[in-house]
Amino acid sequence: MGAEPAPHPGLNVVALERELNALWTNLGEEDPHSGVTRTCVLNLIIYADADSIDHHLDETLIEVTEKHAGRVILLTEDHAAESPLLDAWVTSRCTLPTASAKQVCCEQVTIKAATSSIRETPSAIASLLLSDLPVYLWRRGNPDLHSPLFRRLASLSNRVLVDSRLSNNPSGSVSAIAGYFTDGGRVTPLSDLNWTRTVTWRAVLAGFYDVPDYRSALDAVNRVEIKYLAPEAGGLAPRALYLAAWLASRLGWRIDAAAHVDGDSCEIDVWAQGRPLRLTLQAITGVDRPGHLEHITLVSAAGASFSVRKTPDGQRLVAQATLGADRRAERVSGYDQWTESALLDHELEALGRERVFEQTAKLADRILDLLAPASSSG
Amino acid sequence: MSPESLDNPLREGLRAERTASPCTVVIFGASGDLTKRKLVPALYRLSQERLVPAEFAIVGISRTPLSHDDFRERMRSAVSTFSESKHLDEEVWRNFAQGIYYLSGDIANPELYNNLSQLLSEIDAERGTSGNRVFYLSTAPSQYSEAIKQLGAADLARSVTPDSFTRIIIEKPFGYDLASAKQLNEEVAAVFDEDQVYRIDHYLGKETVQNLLVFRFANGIFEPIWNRQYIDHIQITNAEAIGVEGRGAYYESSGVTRDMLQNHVFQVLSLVAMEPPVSLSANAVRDEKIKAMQAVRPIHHDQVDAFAVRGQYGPGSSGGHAVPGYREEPGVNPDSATETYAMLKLNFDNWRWAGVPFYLRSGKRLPKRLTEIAIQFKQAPHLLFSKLVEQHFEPNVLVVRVQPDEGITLRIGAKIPGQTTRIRWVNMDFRYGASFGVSSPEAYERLLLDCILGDSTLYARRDMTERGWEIVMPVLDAWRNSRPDFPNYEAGAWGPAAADEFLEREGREWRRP
Repeated sequence: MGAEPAPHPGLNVVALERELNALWTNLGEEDPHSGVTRTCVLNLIIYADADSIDHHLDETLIEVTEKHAGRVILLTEDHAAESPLLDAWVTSRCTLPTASAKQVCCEQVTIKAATSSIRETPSAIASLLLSDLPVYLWRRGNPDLHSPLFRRLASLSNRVLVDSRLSNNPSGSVSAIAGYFTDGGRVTPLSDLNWTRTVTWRAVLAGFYDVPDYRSALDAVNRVEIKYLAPEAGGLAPRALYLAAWLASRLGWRIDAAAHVDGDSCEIDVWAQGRPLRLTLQAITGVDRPGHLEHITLVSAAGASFSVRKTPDGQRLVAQATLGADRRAERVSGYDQWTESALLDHELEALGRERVFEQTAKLADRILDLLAPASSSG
Repeated sequence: MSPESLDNPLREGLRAERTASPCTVVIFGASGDLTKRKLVPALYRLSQERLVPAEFAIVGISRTPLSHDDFRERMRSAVSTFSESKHLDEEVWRNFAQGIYYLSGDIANPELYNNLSQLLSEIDAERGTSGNRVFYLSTAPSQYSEAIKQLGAADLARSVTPDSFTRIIIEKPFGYDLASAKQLNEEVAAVFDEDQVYRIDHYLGKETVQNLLVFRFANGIFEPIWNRQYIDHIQITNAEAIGVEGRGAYYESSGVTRDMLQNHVFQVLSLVAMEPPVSLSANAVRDEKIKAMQAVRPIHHDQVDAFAVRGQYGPGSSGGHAVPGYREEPGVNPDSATETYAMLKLNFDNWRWAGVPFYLRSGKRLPKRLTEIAIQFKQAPHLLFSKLVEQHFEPNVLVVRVQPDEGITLRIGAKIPGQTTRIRWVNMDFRYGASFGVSSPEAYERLLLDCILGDSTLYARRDMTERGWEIVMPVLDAWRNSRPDFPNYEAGAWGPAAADEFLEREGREWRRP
């Protein structure tokens, strides 16, 4: 049996701070006439796996820091490293907001750590955070909400962002998120980027409820069908699950009735303000966009229908309300392409608990519970 | 069920908490520049951002005979030229354009309004616009009265149903002087209730102007020093680098005082001078603004020279190019006495501002385009370091830049590093562009949406428009009755020497922005 490698001496935070200060002096000297503006509105900790670091992340960070200037701390975990690797360095990111303006520069601290050394990093990160500014933690990878490292990093943060799309078990991670909220004790507010990806759909659906003329028909809806492209990892797509659970939680549906699974379709009977309603989640096949929402239809007993569908090229949304043969409204609008930077841009504007998401996640977990026996028996 | 009171359970948690009701926007003056440059591009963007519902329509009205399709095509071209994104998605546009209609006719002809009434009913039935209407007067100001009278006569000013709304947006200028503003207000009031009337001042739609409220009332550190105890004086500068740009004929009947000072600059002034409102409701904010403006000490006819300076640019240089003087501009009288620069000193007779002069200046062909508010604080009570400063000891200045490079700068004294104590004046900068990195929505987008939502906070109330005229009328009357020695400043300079001398006499100087 070989001797265990000696523990890494740790990160030299003082040296990092010195490097950060030197960075600004150097930037000022490089451009003494127009100068640079250092701007910080937040701290962003990114916790990613070393093998997932690619140019996409770099592009994302360029776009994100243009809109949310601040200090980025990129923590990468190298699972393959054999030695107790722990290294850190400082870089700057500068952009020119307008042709005539000064350069706006942000700073990035990159920490690369072997799995065996990574537990040392939260204490270093804590001292590198800019004071008084909000701290966001973005877990870019399979979210393991129970890992001690994740919990430590979350405790340093004001808001945590995870992405169930990157999970090995997407619907399972929805349950884990629901569990995070019901764990008890004080937890850092958390959101799932897959929930953010449903924003456009939720906004369009909410638009139907803004029209007084539609209300009586919407209050008589007895069938809701959500179609989605099957996720690569199989199972229910979190986005479809979230959308169904969101409707249920906002509209006060009671989900304790029977559920059954028939191939790619899950049907759940719910009670909506005392009337029965059939909720269907239907996976459809498609080569592109796994896990994406494609179509949602709300149909009332009197024949009115409200639908939102994505066009085949995925570029637009078509919202349609049909109250009868002579009354139909349709709107075609661009579909927000939720790139990684667009998702972050949206989430970095929020701070604090997102009550609606917490309720939705819990109800989504309830739907999964109901479907589990149905799935195993069916 | 009124749209504004409709509770929508799905809205909670969505960022777009405000959503407009179905409605039809009727634009009078649809062949004009404003419609194609601002209004339709703004409405298109609101639709794209889903801030107005699918049940939405636009009716353009002007004298030019056009079919619906001709008008749609013109608007398509306008949106692709003037919209912020420039890119026009044809499929999205086709869908939006289905809700665009056109009516041609003479604004004074009752038949136009009968046709409009019929068209609006058809649109309600076809597109579900629920009888909600917003009329937008974007015609020549001389046609406002006629359009308002005709709308009343055709019974188009009243709500179609108890739950629907009818509103009217009136573009500036709101009157030519106090008498005409009062008359127009009377004519409007004879047809519309005040809560239906939205007098647009696009300055109030600018993000930084709105931020004045946030800056003052969301930050506990500013309000305690926002008064006569700490502030020496305030300068508000509204400068344009351009000349009259082909609008010489219009400008001849206007001048900078009518065109900019009594509306835009006074709106900014009222936000700086007002007391904290009890809420952010439209009337709570507007009540405080008018209270502040009512405290402005009147300028007497025989004291105008002690409170105002006027100017007119002569030939000079702007942006590195030789430019003609105002009197050489097309459409301008070669002996014109119209002022292209005006400076006012205003005093407020209230507890907060007693003894604090507000210096306002606005002009054309100044060195650069900018609008800013500079709050100059009093000197520290004991000048401990005065012997160390070779030149004069500069006061702290807080500058709120409204445009361009929106932001806030605080000038403070700091020790220059070294063995001796030397002081250098440095700026602490907050820049919108750097901190938020997102472009602000167009002022017209915000204002149109507010009107459809029924929020008139950023619109001028009747009393405010009249108060603006009351303050400037003695100055305008005095100037009308005396012959100025124009031109008195070179294009590209910061106004006439008399304006600099005015402040020098008071022991102060204009900032060089």
